[in-house]
Amino acid sequence: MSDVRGSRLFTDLNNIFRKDLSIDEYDVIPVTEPVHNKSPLVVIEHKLGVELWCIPILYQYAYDKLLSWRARDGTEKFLEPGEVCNLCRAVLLVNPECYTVWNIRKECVENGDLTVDEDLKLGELILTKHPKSPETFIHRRWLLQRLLNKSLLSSNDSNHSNSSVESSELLVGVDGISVNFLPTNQNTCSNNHILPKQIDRNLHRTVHHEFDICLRAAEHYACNYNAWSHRIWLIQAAFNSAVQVLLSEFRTTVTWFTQHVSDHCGFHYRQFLLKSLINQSQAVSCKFHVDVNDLLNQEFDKTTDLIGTYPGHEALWYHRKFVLHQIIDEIKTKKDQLRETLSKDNGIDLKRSRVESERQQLLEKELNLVSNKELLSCDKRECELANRYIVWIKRMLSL
Amino acid sequence: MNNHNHFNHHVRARSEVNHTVYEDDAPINKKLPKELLLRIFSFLDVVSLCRCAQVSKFWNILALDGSNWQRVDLFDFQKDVEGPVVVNISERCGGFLKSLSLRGCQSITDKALQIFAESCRNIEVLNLNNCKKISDLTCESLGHYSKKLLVLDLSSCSEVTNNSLKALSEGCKLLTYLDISWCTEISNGGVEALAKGCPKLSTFISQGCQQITDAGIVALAENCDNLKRLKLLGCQQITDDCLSIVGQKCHNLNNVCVSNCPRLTDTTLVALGAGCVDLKVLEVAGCTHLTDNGFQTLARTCTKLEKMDLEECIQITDSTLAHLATYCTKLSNLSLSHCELITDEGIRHIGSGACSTEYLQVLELDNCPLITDASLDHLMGCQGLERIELYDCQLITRAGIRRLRSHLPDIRVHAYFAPVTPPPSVGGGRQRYCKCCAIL
Repeated sequence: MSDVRGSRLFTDLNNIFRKDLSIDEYDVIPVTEPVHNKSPLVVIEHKLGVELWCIPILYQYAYDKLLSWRARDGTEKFLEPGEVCNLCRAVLLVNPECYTVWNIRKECVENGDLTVDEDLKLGELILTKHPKSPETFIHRRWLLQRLLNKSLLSSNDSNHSNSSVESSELLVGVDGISVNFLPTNQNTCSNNHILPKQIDRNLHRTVHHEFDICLRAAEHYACNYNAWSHRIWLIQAAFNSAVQVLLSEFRTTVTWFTQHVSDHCGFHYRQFLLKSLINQSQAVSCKFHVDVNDLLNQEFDKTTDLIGTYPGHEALWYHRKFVLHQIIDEIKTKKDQLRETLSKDNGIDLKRSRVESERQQLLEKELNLVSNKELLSCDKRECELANRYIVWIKRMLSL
Repeated sequence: MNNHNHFNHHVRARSEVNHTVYEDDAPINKKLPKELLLRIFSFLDVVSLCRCAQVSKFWNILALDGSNWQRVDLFDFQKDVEGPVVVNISERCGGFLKSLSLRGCQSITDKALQIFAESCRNIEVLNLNNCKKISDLTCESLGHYSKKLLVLDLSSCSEVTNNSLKALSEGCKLLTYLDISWCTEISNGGVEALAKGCPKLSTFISQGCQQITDAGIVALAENCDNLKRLKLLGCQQITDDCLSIVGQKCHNLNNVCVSNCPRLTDTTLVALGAGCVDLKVLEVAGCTHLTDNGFQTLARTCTKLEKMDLEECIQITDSTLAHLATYCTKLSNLSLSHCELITDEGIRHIGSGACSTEYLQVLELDNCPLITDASLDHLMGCQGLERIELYDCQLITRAGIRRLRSHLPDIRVHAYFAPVTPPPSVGGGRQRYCKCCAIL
């Protein structure tokens, strides 16, 4: 009899999604036994609640039916494409790690039975319940890549007709998407007018929304590596790591990090931003008049602040290590440049030692600062972390 | 699937078999003349025939002889079947082929079917359900060559238009069964031409063809007076006007489905009741304007009704059920899902009606919020009841279901409650106790 209930539950679920197009969240209601003879799927204000007892039944029904259709030797020889999509939805809402089903959905998208937007919407809904689901993010990347390719293709076409700069059009094409969401808007000296605005506006909205989704997922689940790496992918794929996006991200996410001081994955994202900015430091300084060293120093001061305010968070210390390391690296590159310019000069050694001493000075200053301030902290954990940090600095000094 | 390779490799016209019996031949070939072997082969299905064709050259010729291929259903191979397979089959079978089902074979194109129509002119039954690629060209060649076509299923062939129906109406004068469900391009013009050209039509199915309106159905009713089955699910434009004409003209009608045609009112029921006394199946799910008055009139005359789908006829009350119970003595399937005004009293009528003890098999009462366990008590006499739907009837309790089961042990009760597990047998415990006693 349980399989009979499965088909009914599946119909119930489909009816709910048909009647309410804007379901934006779902979760499990902890009801282990059906007490009343009423539907275990409840919708209140676009939020879907599913009673616990019905999930195995629903899942079993949808999964068996779908896989039997997929295998082509089972009882389900023929299913309407719409039915297939619905079955996929039922399975994925319960178990978003089932990549066979995601692949079926990919086929549906390729066959035109399902639009990319619909699929993105399902993924978004799933992320409200399973914010860390890697398969969901992977599928989203596939979908977004599809959108991006389509938009690039069309923008290439129109660019050809305009006979504009061919070499940089790819870069400009993806750069332009972010234009109106930047604080440094006026600084961009770009030639965006060649872009086909209409396609891009749609895409721009989708991509912008994607950032929101990442942030929400990161908030729902602490240390959500998948959400942050999705965001990194987004910056690389959709914006080609454009400086303006990196900078605006760097500025807008500051508040988030001050509110989530132990989220190591979040700091990793920030480290990615810093690294990418350092890699393009020339573009940063000439286009936006921002010195990467200033950014590093600001970030360093910020960690000092945060460590003082929130003692005992390891992620902050790691971040501090990273920033310090980057600062030292920057000094080293400066040294290399100097050596090049002064290569004919005899005073190389002098210069070299000066730079060397600059590094030493910095590290010693840091050592003093930490040992004076943090070791006196009454928090035991904080002392431990500070001690580890000091050991690390000492090792750096001895190098 | 090896079978299809066969069609590809052995494109040979039906050949005269000159088989001389050799010493080392299998006994079956020595003993049986080829006519008898052919006769045996004619009982086999497609897969078995293709297996036989791989036994020997002799059997290959016999098994692939067109006379064995009168009825071909390729539904099981829908994803593998492509144009050449159909072409080869039609060249091999020629005039022998009477029935072909290509249901779900989405790769089939017009070209293959044009060749098919030209070579298999005796085709009587053709199922092209979900052959999404075919268009008017196929139907034009069918109209041109297939004069004997009786049954044609074009459902979900979304590219088919009115021109197809016109072509069919010119050539296939014998057509009795036509399914054009979900061919959304088709409108009144096509249906009118069809009605004029194919007067023998007895079954017409056009689910989801939103462009078909009253004019088309009226033409159908006026020309095809032998109409027995009419399925217009989801043709939302149709109104009482056309169904009144249907009621006046089509007296043989026994199966009507007008579910999800929300404009219909009681007038339809009155007209059907007056004209179609043979009505056995009536599906009016989602026709929310229908009321007790209409069903009362209908029930008085259409006493042969067997199956009724009244899902979401939200205005009907116990009075309809009382009339159905009194007059429709053969009712076996009744769906009252979402009929929210139904109460225990109505179910009492059904339970005590003439149909209840013998005929009633399926009763769907899901989402009827007013019915209680009392309803189940009223149904205890329905010995034939196989299935009862009780989803979302929130006043139904486990105890009520258990009571019903105790009277009707074979019934399938569908509710959100967990299936009743047999109570843990007390006997087991006792036995162990006894064993202990014995040991002690």
